[in-house]
This record gives sequence, structure tokens and C-alpha cells, in this order.
Amino acid sequence: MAIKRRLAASLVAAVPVLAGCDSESTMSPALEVAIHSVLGGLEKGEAYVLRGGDIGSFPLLGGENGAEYIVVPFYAAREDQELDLALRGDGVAAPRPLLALAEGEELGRAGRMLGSPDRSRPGVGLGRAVAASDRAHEQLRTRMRREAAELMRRGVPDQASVRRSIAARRGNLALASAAVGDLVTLNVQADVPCDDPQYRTGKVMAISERAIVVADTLNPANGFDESHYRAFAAEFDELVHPVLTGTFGEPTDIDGNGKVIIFFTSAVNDLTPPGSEGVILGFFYARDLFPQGGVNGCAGSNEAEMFYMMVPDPKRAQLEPIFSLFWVEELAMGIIAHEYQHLINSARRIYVNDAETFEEIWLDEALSHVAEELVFYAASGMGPRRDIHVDDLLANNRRTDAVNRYMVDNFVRYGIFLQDIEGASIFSYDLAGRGGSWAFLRYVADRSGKSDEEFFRDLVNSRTAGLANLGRVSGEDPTEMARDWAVSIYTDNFVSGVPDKYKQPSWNFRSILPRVGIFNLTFPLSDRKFDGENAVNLALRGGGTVIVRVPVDAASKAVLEATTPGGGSLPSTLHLTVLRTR
Amino acid sequence: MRKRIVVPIACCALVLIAPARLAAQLPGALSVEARLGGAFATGDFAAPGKALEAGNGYAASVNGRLQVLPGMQVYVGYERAQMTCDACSATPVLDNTIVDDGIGVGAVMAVPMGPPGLSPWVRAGLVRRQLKFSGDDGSGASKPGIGFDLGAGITLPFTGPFKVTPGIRYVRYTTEFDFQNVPDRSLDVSHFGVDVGLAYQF
Repeated sequence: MAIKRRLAASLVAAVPVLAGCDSESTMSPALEVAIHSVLGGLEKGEAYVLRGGDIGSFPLLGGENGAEYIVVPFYAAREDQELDLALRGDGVAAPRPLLALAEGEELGRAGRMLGSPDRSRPGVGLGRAVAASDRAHEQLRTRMRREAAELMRRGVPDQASVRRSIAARRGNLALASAAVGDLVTLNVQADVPCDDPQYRTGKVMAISERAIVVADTLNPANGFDESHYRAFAAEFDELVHPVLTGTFGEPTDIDGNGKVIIFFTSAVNDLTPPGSEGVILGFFYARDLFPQGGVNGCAGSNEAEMFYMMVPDPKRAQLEPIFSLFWVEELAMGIIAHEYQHLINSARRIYVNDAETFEEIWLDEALSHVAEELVFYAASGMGPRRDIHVDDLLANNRRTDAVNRYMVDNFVRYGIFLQDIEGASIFSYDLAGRGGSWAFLRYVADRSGKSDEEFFRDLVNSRTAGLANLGRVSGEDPTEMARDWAVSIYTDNFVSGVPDKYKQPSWNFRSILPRVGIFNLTFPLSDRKFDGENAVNLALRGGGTVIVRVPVDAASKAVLEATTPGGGSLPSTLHLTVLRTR
Repeated sequence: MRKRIVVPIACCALVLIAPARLAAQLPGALSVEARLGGAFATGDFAAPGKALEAGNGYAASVNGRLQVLPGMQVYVGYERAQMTCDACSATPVLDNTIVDDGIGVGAVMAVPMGPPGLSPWVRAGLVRRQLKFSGDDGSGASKPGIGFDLGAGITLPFTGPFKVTPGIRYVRYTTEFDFQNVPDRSLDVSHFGVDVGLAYQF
């Protein structure tokens, strides 16, 4: 009897013990998607987030009223790498027209446009000219960074000794001894940093607390006059310098004058041969931050915190309007803000942050575009994370003028990125890539929860570069942020009910871009769709993305499969987000 | 990770140590029961187009019972049901069956009526169960959910200490899926069953 009772007690004790050891739920992503789909699938605003070989096939349900999904791959690789992938779909419905605005939204105040001297004329503006200029700027920056990086690798002495050596040799612009009317000699050689100097004589036109504005004596006639230069110096002091140094930090002062030299020279214009597609608007050359003498000296250095600006050329403007007084003046302060960030970034890396490398070009350029944006906020009285609508920009002349002077170029580049989204890469610094990388960097800053000052100061004052730098400052995997940002391109201000990571808190691009002259009342996003075919073949660059729309009829189901064109597994660097938009 | 190691060790220790002490302290008659029968999904769990479109299958359980009062037993047991899943069969990677299992605790009350030799009973209890899927890419399960279990039946004498206990039952609980890559989901699971038990009383 005792044995029986003991046996019974064993059973009583064992049953819950054996049953209570729950199954651990370590499901593969493909299994999760499959189970999720049989549980009803995605609701509007929800997403599957998959990666590489985990992607396989996945069902998408049409629900009671039909549904639409976007499939957004993001290729997290170097921009010179390419990936072909095939998206096969079974049961995909006929595509619907791509809408620019969310339902109920309107284009805003008809007739008013951004980025045009005649604000009522759509399609005319500086956008195209600026767009073209960036292509040449890209080539110049690439070459200059490569050469300056070589100087950095050689090693530099500390800032104090560089300043002493400069003070011992020079007197014209160093140590605050310059006066208006002084003539100075500056090397404008842009092809090579240290050899074959090409000297120009410049005349000091204006001196402010923070700037020395110098004009090349060879500049074309009927360009800027003294009042223009004084205005540039004043605006630099009152707006650009405080905004940028307050965010990124002070530049160095190797020449001991406490000022930045802004050299308006036709040598910049000369970098653009007549008839060129692109126009060089200005440049900063890090070689000027290195000493001329010493074992690793750079003889061609101007040994100054300075950058170079284009000048008006009324005669040339007859064929190339970008050289007109109007356009060069309109563009100048935005370019100054852009180049000043490059100067601050490079100078602090060399002498303050003790970095071993310059910032990667794509991120350096994105930061310079952020610099333009920060100056816009200060000039307009607006700020980030306000989801700025085009009506906000057109609300008064102060804001509209600030957009046209500092900000519209960013909109133009971002719009061109959207037009060419499949061929673009945010890790590149070509035209489209820079539009995307600026918008991505703004997104990361907004997502970080830090203030602009804290976030961008950390980013600039760094010894790391590129994605590593971005990850360090944001505390997140930058490729995962890029994956989410790629989705936000489509969903922000367009699809309701999405998580915050699929929103862009600062700008309502859906309302703004159609009102930028060159986009002519359209939202310039190019998407991909099945169009009756059962496969979409995609070619992505590293740092590239694309939006594929997948409609599914009511009470139907589509099954999608993402593979290489040959049917193989995708690499783990390929992220794929599937989000239900309707 | 620490919990994953500690809990099984504690479980095993309990199985080895508990019976001697438990047996010495048991107040009333002990019995064990095994049940087997059909399971039929109900509600949203079964509705076409809603979720799993679960269908029919089998249910099995084993439990131990302890008489605590005249006409009243408490039970604890392991229960498992396996049903078809029409929605699963439409996916490329899932098997077309699902498993619902876990533990149940509750009480069985004898109903003082009926012809001599037949003992009607009703039961009510709590369940802690989870839903399990399997397929080409492995298996996965929901988080255990808490619900209830209602049943009724009769006890028929069989031979010696054995008795036959046919009955019907209804199980319902809500379970949640904590996914890593897709949005979380919850699901109401409910099914009706007709089964037969074989009980042995010590």
C-alpha cells in the first residue's frame, strides 16, 4: 500500500513538473513571419523586419478590404559594392497610382514656390544649377581629401608650435594685423596641395570680429562691391559663426588672428570651364591648416583658417546664369556655412581631437548640409523636430527668404535622391547621395533624443569616422537606423499609425518638395511595382534602398520571395522591411 | 540563462524528493487518470478568415487526483491537444497541425444523482497552456497563457480499481506571441472536446 501511495505521489508531483517546463520560443525569422501571417498578418503601420538569408518567402494578406504593402530593402555595404536581388510575387494585385500626399492633404497655397527668384513661376529656380554644381564639387572634394589625408598621416606638430612658426614668418593676415585695403598673397592651387603654387593677390575688403573678407584683384568687373563684402562679414559674425561654433565647436586659430579668411576669387570660377555641367561654388582645402615648413611641411599651404568662394561674372552669366550677381549673392552665405563646417571639422580633427583620419567624405558632406540647415533655423526663427510644413515656410518673408538662401539646396538634393533612389547611395557623396545622407543624418539626430548641439558636437569632435562615428554618437547600429530611415522616406506624413522610427520629425517633405521649383508640384519619389509581372529585379548599391509597392486584393493572399536573381540566399547585409501601408 | 538551468534542476529534484514526503502527508484517496478523445476548435480560433482556421484533432491528458472532501477531488495534470490548421497549410513553411498543451489544475465535484453505479461529475479548473507550431524552419511556441477548463461526465465502474470516465470539456485561454522580428500578437484559443478517461484509484 505504501508503495502504491508513493507511486501515486510521484505521478502527482511529476505531471506538472514535466508539463511546466515551457517550450523556449526561439523561432527563425521565416517561421515568425509564417506564424504571424496565419495569425492575421500585418495591421496598417506594422512591419516585418528581416535580414539576409532569413528572408525567404512570406505571405501578405489582403484582408477584408484589400491591402497595400511596401517592401523596402536596404543594402548595408560600402557604396562601391552592388547587389542584385529578385523579388518574386505570386498573387500581387494591379498597382494603384502613387499619391504624393496623404488623403485629405493639399499642396498648400497655390502659386507660391520655393527656390525661385520669381516665386510664382514653378520650374524656374536655382535648384538645377545647384544640382549640377555638386557633381563638380564631389570630384574636387574627393581629390582634396585624399591628398590632405596623406598630409595628416605624416603627422603634424601641436597647434601652438604651428602658430609660433607662422607668426615668425608672416605678417599680412596673421596676428590680427590686417587692415582693410591691405594686399595679400594666397595660393589658389586646387589640383595639388603643396606643390606648384598659383598665387593670387587679394585685397582685404572687410574685417569683422570673426572674418576677414578678401577679394581677388583679378575678379571680373561689376561683381560684388564693398557693401556686399561688409554684409557677408557681418552676417558671418551675427549668424553663421555663432550657430556653427555653438554646435560643432570653435575652429583652430593657427594664424593667430582669431578670424576666418573668406577669399572671393575668380580662381574658383576658373575651376568650372565654360559649358561644364557642374559648377564649383566654393571649396575648403585642408592643406591650408598644415604648416609650410618643417620636416612634413606643405609649401603650398596658406597657413590659415580659410576657404574659397566663387564670384559673380556678369559677362559669363549671359550664357551661364549661375554666375550672375543675383545667384552668387543668393548662394554665398549657404556656401560659407557649408565650407565653414568642413573647416571646423578638419581643424579640430588635426589639432584638437587628435584624430588619425579626417571624417569620411559622405558624412563630412552631410554635416556641411546640416550646417546650412542649422543656419536656416537660426535665420528663420524655426527649429528641428517641428515637422515643418510648406505652409510654415511660406508664412512670412523672413522664413521664405531663409529657405531660399540656406535650405532649398538640401530640398533639391533630397528630391533628386528620391528621383534616383534605386541608383543612389547614402554612403556616397554624389549629388543624389548627398541629398539622402543629409536627410538620413537629420533623421539620426532626431531619433537620438539628444539636442542638435549635443549630437552634432559629439559627431564632429571625434577620433572615429563614418558609420563607426555615427554609431558611437547615436548609441545604435547605424545600418539598422538607415534601414528604418529608408522606410520613413515613404511613410512619413503619409501612412498613419506607423511607429516613430518610421517618421521624420523635422520636415514634412511630402508638402515641401512639390513646392520646390524644379519638382513642379510633384513628390519626386520613384517607386517600383510589379506591373503585371511576377518578379521585380532590383540593383542596389551599398547604402542604397528602393521602395517596392505590393497591393493585395481583398480576401486574397500574395506570397513574396526575395532571393538573388539565381534563387540563392541574400547576404546578411541586406535588410528587408515589409510594412503595410493600407 | 541562469533561470534556464536552475528551473530544470529544481524540477528534477522535486520529482525525486517530493513523493516520499508527499505520500506521507496525503490526506485522502489518490487516483490517476488518462484521457483520450477528440478536440474541435471553436470561436475565432476556428473561424474561416480570422486566424488559424483550426479544425479537428485529438486531445489527451494525464492527471493525478486527490480526494480532499467527500465527493470532491482536486486534480493536476498535463494536457495536450493537436488540431489541424488550415491557414498553416496555405503557407510554404508551416506544418498543417498545431499543438496546444500545458498543465491544468482544478476540482472535480461528484453530482449526487443518477442511477446506482453511475457517478456524474463536473469539473472546473485553470489551465496554463501554449500553442506550438512546427515547420521546415524549426518550431516555435507562444507564451503560456492562463485560461479555464470546464467539463462534465460520468464515472463508470470498470474492473477492480479501474473506472471509466467519459466526458465532455471546453477549454479557453488567451496566449501571446512575443516575436523578435515581427509585431507581437495575441490569440484566443478555444476548443471543445469529447473524451474518455481511464482512472485508477489507489
